[in-house]
Amino acid sequence: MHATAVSVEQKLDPIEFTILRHRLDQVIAEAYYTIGRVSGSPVVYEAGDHQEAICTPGGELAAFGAGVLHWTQALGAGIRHVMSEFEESPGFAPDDQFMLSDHYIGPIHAPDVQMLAPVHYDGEIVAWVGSASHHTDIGGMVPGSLCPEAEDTFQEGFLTPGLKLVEGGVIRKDIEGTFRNMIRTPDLGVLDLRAKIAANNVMKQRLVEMIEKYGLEKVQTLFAQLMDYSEQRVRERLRELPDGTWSSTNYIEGLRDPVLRGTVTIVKKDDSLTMDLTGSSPQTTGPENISPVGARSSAVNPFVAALCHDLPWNEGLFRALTITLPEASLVNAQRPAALSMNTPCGANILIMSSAHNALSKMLMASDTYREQASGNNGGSSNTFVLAGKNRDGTMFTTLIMDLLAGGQGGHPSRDGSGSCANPWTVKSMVANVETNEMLYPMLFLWRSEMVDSAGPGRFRGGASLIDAVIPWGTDSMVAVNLGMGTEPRLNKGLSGGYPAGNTPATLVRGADVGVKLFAKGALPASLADLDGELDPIPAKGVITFDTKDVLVGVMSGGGGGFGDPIDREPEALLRDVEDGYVSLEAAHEVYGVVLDAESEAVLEEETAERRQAIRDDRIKRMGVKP
Amino acid sequence: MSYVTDNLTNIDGVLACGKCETPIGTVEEGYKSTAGTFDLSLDVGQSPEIAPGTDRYVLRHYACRECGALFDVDMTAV
Repeated sequence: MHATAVSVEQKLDPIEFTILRHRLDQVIAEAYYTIGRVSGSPVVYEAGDHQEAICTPGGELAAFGAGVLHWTQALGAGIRHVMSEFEESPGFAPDDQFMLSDHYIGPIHAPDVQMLAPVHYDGEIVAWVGSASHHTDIGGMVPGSLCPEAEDTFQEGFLTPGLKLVEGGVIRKDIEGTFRNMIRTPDLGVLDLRAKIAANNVMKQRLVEMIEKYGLEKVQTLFAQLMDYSEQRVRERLRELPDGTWSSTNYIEGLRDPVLRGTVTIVKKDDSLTMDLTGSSPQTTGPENISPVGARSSAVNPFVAALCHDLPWNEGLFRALTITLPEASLVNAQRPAALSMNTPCGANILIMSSAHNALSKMLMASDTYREQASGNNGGSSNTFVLAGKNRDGTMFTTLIMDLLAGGQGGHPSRDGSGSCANPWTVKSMVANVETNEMLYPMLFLWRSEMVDSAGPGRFRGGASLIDAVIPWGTDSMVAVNLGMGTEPRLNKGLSGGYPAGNTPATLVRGADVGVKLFAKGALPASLADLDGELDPIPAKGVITFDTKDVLVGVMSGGGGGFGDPIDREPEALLRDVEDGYVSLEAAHEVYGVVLDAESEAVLEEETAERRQAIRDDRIKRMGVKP
Repeated sequence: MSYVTDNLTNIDGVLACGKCETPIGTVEEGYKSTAGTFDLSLDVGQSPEIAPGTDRYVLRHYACRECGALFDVDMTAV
């Protein structure tokens, strides 16, 4: 059975186009909520770690949703792979669905399992649909399947380049059973597969309804016209921006290398944009590499967010883009290099943060678009995979996804919002503390915004979250940290703004809060309230801790600042100090604002003197022009 | 006129400090090769009690030699 190619004979009129394109948006939105309602994993239904897409019969993205933006091209690539490899065998019958987890072909890393399905009408394939979500475990060396010790991809869990999991609407028990057999959380894992199957079924059904109501030709025309429209609008926007070259390099601590580097250079000429990742580190022996598919999918994420947030999201957005990847590099890894930790603490984040910064510099050069520029956010974080024995004696594995609630970068005319942002997805949320405590044997001592975590600037970034967690209802836990930013300050500022604070984590060994605090009716609210020995946690690694220990981590990075901190309005700084976002030390040292110790009012003369002293110090450090 | 950074303007290809109007260079040269520079660490937000930090990274500042206005702060690995 051959797919029907989409051809445009006659464009839809503006009214029909608007009605149908929004109906397509609703199809994707319904699939988004379906996945959330079927999955049993808070990573999916609360954190929103999933994505849905519709492709043309030729495999072009006709629409994608407000899920994880750096999975969009990855979903398209997965669909095109299945189309090209399996048409003859095992073939594409109505109500078939394919599972794909090979992170060299589709997902960014293997836990982001894809389910992909043809859509049939009158015996022909008229579209493809795909859903992807993050599984808390798919086997491999450690719980969570993000494997610090992996030296090649054979150690990273269940990798399939395509399996027909659903045949004629019936889940194949042999394949499902094999998958169950190889993962640590089988019930949760197969439920997540069914959530994606359900989301695909919703998209298929709604697309068939559209075809029955409007006709196949109109729906095919809609796909093509949408992509052309998005391409036209993006190119118009690019023409409005000045031609030029902007570059950004960011760094993270590596597992096997002291430093890993990600460079993105953008060249804007007329209505086209090139993103060149040359200058990024060579391929590493650690699991922070990314495949070419993953690198391209990562690079377009900040492009969509910065330039295309109000346009229809489809393949048309990317037609003006060329992405260049250096050979045998961190951002263009070759089999069998390990990839499991490229997100959230490897090449994926390096690419997105460097691209965000380079794009922001370009936007600053345009009076029309400079308000879209901002300091970075989302590049620095700790994500803990926690595993052990649950209260009912079964094994559990979960992720603390608080990295999604980072501080937003400062903008040219406003501060970044606090503990709310990540650059990956529009709709993600942070799981409620109570959800995690109900499902898993843990207790949060606090989750709060952290002082001085925001990048200083004329407009500062937003604050980040700091969490403290203890085992509760279990004796101990294993924690795999997927972190970065313990050493470097990753969330860059813009235009003289400083980067946000770094994001370290520590155990407090022997804090024994049950005996030392709870038994006395006391509740800790900060590190200072804990009486124990600090045992800093490396950015990437595996640790164990028990009921006498507390895990404290700056989970989500603050936002980078915008503009020179000594240009910030002193009254704004006063509010920052009163609200606990900026310390008195930072107010004086970085912002040059002097506050009266008693009344906390701004002392204007002293502030002017302090700021002049900062300028004089800078001039002195620069020396005489050579 | 357009902005290159918040304190750096571009008027017909000539870069100038947005505060004191001192010429900084040309767009072709780029401010990173013509502005004043200095490296300085930032202790605020470093969380030294749980992360001693590292001298593997520096914050490279680009600024006006005349008035000290900041153009850019870039983290660099050394």
